[in-house]
Amino acid sequence: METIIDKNSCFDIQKTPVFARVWQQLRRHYLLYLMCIPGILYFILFRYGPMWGILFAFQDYNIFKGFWESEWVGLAHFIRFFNSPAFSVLMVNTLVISLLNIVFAFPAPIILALLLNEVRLAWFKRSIQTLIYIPHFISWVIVASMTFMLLNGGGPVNSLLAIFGFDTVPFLTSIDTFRPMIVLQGIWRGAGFGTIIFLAALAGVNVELYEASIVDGASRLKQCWYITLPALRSVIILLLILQMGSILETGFDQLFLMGNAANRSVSDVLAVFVFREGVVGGNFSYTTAIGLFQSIIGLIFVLGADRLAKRVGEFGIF
Amino acid sequence: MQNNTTKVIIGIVVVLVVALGIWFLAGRQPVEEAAIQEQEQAAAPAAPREVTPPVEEVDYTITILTVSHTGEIIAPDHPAILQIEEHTGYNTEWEFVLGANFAEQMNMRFAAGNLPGIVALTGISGPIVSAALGGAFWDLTDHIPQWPNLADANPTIMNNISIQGRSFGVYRQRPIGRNGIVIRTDWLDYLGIDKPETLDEFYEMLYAFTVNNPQPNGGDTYGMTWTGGFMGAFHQLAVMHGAPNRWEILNEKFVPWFEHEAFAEAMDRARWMFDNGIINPDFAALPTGDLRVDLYAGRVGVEIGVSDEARRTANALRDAGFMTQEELDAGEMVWVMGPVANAQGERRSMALSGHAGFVAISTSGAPTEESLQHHLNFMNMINDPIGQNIVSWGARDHNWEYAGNGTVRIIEQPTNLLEGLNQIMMRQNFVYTQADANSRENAIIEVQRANLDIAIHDPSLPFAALSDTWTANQVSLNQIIDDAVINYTMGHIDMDGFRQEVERWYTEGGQNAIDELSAALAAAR
Amino acid sequence: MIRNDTAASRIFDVFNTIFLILFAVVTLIPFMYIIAGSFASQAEIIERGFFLIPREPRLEAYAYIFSSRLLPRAMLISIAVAVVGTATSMLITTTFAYSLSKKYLAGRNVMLTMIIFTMLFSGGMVPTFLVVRALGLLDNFWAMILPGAVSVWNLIVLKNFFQSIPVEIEDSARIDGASDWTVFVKIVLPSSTAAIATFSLFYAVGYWNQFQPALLFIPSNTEIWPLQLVLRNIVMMAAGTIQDAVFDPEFVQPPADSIRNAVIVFGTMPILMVYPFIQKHFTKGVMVGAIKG
Repeated sequence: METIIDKNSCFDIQKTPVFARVWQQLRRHYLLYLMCIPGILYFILFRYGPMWGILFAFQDYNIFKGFWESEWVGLAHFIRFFNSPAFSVLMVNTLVISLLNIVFAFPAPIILALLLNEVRLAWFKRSIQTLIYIPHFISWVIVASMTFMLLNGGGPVNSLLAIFGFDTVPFLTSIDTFRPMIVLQGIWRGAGFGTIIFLAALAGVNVELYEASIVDGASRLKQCWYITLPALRSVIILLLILQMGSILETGFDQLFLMGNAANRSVSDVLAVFVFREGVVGGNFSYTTAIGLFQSIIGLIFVLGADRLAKRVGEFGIF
Repeated sequence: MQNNTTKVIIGIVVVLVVALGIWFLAGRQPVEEAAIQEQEQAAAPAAPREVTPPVEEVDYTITILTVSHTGEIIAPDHPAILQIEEHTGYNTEWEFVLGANFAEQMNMRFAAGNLPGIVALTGISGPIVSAALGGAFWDLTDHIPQWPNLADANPTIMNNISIQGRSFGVYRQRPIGRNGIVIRTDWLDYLGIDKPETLDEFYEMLYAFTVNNPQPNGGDTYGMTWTGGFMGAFHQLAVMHGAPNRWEILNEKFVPWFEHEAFAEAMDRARWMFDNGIINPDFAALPTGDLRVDLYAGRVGVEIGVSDEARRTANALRDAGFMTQEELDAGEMVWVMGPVANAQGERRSMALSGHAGFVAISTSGAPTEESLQHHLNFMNMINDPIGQNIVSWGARDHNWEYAGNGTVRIIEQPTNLLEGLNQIMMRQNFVYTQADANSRENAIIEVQRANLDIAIHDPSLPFAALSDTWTANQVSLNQIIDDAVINYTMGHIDMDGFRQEVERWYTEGGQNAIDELSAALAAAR
Repeated sequence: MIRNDTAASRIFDVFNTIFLILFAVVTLIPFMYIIAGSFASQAEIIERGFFLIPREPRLEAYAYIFSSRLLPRAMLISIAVAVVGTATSMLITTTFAYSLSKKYLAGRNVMLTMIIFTMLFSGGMVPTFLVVRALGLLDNFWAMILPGAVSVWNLIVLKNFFQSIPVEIEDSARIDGASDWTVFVKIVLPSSTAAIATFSLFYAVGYWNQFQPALLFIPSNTEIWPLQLVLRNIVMMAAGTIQDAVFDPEFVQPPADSIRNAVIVFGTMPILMVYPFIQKHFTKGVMVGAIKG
């Protein structure tokens, strides 16, 4: 039972019964509750309305027969998934790429935002900002094609390496280069767009703080460390928590397009497997079950991360 | 700094000016490629009925769902549609699904249960099979014999689209003997080589294309482009060497093609080609859509693919400036041939299934027996030479005119205006070919005709839908083998490694598929 | 803004500038290649491989775009969806986020839990489709907006932004007798212009880039197909990734590269032009104190 403490209330909390407090709450802040209505309506209609689709995971769902006519199979799909030979490979591949993204791709927009923040010329800052977020809009199909042009055996990168006397590196087919390539691709495509949220957070930092620190003799580095970063701390932690929910998700398009016979052992992730089995093979229920599994794991991670954040004194997502 | 509103207004004005500018500067419409229609001459084309017996008009609307690959849609009052309505006596209403969306759209329509009466389906994939078995489409097995134009459909292809032995529609016919080898004949001439007759000569030619500078003005060249995403070229080579088409039946059991020694032979050749630079070294990673970039850029000498690729290659070379329009019309530079002979002297062409899905009648669009009869009537009337040529070429005497001897002459380029309409073409053998074909066109026709005599079919097709494992897993299973072939070609694994992957194929569903398919075969006998 | 001007500081500026320019170049060049390709003839694209400036500029590809009714109309639809959708989404999201930012709101934690649950768990395409159909929204313009109107991610982050606005600002208004709504509209929103601008941009980009709602919910009303749906079809066709059409190229002539490039440029330019307009909101705000942790 949550405690309802209205800071503006002069009531003596211990003496008032719970129900009366709630009622008083509602009357005082009825506008807030009214403001909730559109949102609540939305979630009920469009998020919880379809929620029964989760149950497909426990059925042998035939899309034409529909929900009521399809037969129930309980946990059969989950058992099949856990027992399938591909299971451990898929989990490892998915988790590794996800973690690499958290370690490398997540900080990239933060660093970029910090660097941009240090720029003094307003027009330069704006121009750079506008340019670096363009790749976000280029579809993965194009990105894959361009990556191929860039990294293939006879392409510019390998030609450059040859000039310096290095051997040709088979970027596209080598197992060792696959994961770094995926992470770098992701950074190229998403870092620019990712800076926006951090720049918005930085916009709220009071200029006077910087000025005061200069008076105190702080170097730019110190300013960054003691003013800028703390300003971003909340946002960073919040985004990190939300990212945890996607721990078993990786983009489908990128991995599907960059995967090939030579790197299959590291490029097959859950999303690609689901596509092959579900959309192409028609194992609709099976893939729903896998999706449910991904969601459950994601939930555990999100709640865990949130609890950790509370320990450190942050808001968390609640 | 100007205020917000001014900025917005200026922005809008700039955009409008630029757009208008482009509009005016662009001038005439660009020359659009003609919607090049396919030809198949399995049977001599029936003589066209010059006079159509009057068809009584029925006050009933047939709703049709078909596929548009470009997004352009034929106007509802297009003369072609009007002619169809005249020919069948029914009113028609057309709906279109974008090609890229077909799989998802179909799922939604199945779930909603609101399909139109006539539905063009692009394949026999898992979702479609389960929908059909679940009752989404009428089982027409007993009805088809009662309608003359449906009953005379090719029984092999009808068998190939059957689901658990039942027929749910009429196939969308595609040439069975469509595969072919496209060759740059100008390179042959320049090097003084004859067209290859045997596999050995074929490989020698490829080698020559790679190392002997077959182009007058130099430039790097190589034999063939492959892509890891689609190994059709290798598949055809394997069949040419002597392997069966995916499956063969031995002692009443299905045996996969990679168990045949010719398959290993083809693999060794693939590795030889890779080591000698005859195929592109990055083929494993080449995006599928970029497969023909080098071919169209004039850097590649051969493509093993579909025979009509010769036409597209010629067009592309003309667009790229390697060939003039006259040379293209004269049939120069690009030519197509059927398979070369293997060591035993056999020519083997990997047959296609003969269809690209089928046209079905949905139970939601035709809920009653009576409506089913109407739809069958419509299908029957459209499945004759007149109907099939309207859907394929457009409105007679408006888009095309009959040029005698089973050929047509295009009056007005139908192009994208026919999008969707031609996707319900079912009986390709009724469709006329284009008149004034040049030698290249004739070569394409000839190859496809000759292939029918040497076609090697995939015996699993009629039984595929009866094996749950195969329907659900064939994509993954095929990928295991293709991946292994690719890795072997590149030298990443050797024959032992390949056998290991083959073992994996068996344990991950291959053995189950074999058992189920063989059981289905036994039941049918 | 005043900064101290040590030597180290200036060196840093130089390196920073170089790095940012390099990064901008790396992100920009591929797009410039696409733009260049849209103004080039097919022959040049094939011959030259990679280039940034076409030798013989041609407008054929763009003429193709404007010659069909389909693409310009789809562009207008996309703009309409983005504008109306962003307005709708921001309306629902900001009001909800503000209410949820108040810790004393009754039922807050319950609502938040249920909201976050939907971020991870979803019924899937088919049930959502059935709901949309039941509401009579199939083939309707609003089917591209309502089902995805609220992004949980946006909602939560915005809520936290509101939570970090110092209470004192609101209190002083409340003491003067302002109602919750007045505080929201007159005090909180103006203090959060950076956040509002950011999430409006996120929603706008989301609406602009989306094709799934149209794919699922607009089966036959071709008049309102958005640009990304058509663009995706063209790109997939050219890339050979449409499962069925790939090797049924019989009736399908994949579009020339120049056309594909032009369509990509056409589909991306409008949204790119939005960001510069809202950038002025990212300058330093008028908030007192830093965002609290």
